[in-house]
Amino acid sequence: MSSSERLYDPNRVLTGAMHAMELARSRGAQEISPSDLLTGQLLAVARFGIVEFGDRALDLALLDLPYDMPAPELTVRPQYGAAVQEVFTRAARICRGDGGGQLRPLHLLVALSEPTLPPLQRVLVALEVDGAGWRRLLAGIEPPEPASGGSAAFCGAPSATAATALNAAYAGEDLLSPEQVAAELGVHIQTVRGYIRRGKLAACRLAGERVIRIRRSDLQTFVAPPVQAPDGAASSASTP
Amino acid sequence: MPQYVAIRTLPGITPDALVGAGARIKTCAAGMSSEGAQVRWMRSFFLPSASQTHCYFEAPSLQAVEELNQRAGVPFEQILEVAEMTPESV
Repeated sequence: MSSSERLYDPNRVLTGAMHAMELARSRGAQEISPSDLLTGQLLAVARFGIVEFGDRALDLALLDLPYDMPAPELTVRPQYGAAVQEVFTRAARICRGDGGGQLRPLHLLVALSEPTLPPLQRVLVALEVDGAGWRRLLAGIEPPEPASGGSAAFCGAPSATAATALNAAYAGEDLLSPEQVAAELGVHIQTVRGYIRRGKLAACRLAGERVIRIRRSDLQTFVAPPVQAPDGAASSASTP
Repeated sequence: MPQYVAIRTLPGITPDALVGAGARIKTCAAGMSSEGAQVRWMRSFFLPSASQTHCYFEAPSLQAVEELNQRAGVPFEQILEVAEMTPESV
């Protein structure tokens, strides 16, 4: 599992929270701090102590972050303090603004983008970015594609409710994955994602789901955009 | 496993704060389970007209549910044991 997949994996939120609890416990602290939560989430999305943000790699060992966790001290039962409670609320707001669905480590990391947090200061120095650059790195992490392709069935993804909504919205439409569109256009996948990000190519994302699909009709419009007919009425360029 | 309901009144709570509280409960339940206390958050109902939530848990004891809510920083008025009844059971 890649870093980007881990950053979008809701189960990693639980793993990160458990790391945060253990970090607080290892200090004998009664409260889990935002720094614990940030460190815990980074540990949860790391593989062998490395977190990849696009082409940038963050080595948690260089930051003195304990990617091998200390043995828990079960006599200490830390709780979330007021600051962490507020972080979760912010993360929920960020998650909602990002399309909703389950809270993911990425949303917590954005909610924890407070440059006064000591672990984040070390991260920013290691990655040679400022607070805005850090958020840009996080914003640039693309959601992982589903394990298998296929359009109509939305393989492996959504709930029955989501699938029903999809069918209702796009009944009869030919839906393409970004990879399929890249292949058809003969361009790189990142180029297609750029078209979508900049709003040049319409794409749909089911509420609460990460799967992106492009309607065949939207792709045809993108390739041959509507032209203004001589009489002023809009018409589509001829398509099969 | 016994089941319990935590009753809380949260006037003026926002949807984001509710989701945040749910995430704290969920993560704390996972943490407590890793410590050996098998506490499970089953579901919650929000009653907008009363600004109340009723959160249902499966836990070995009432104290475990209390501890979960305290550690998650989610306030409650009372926690009561519940007996489940469904249309299928009557």
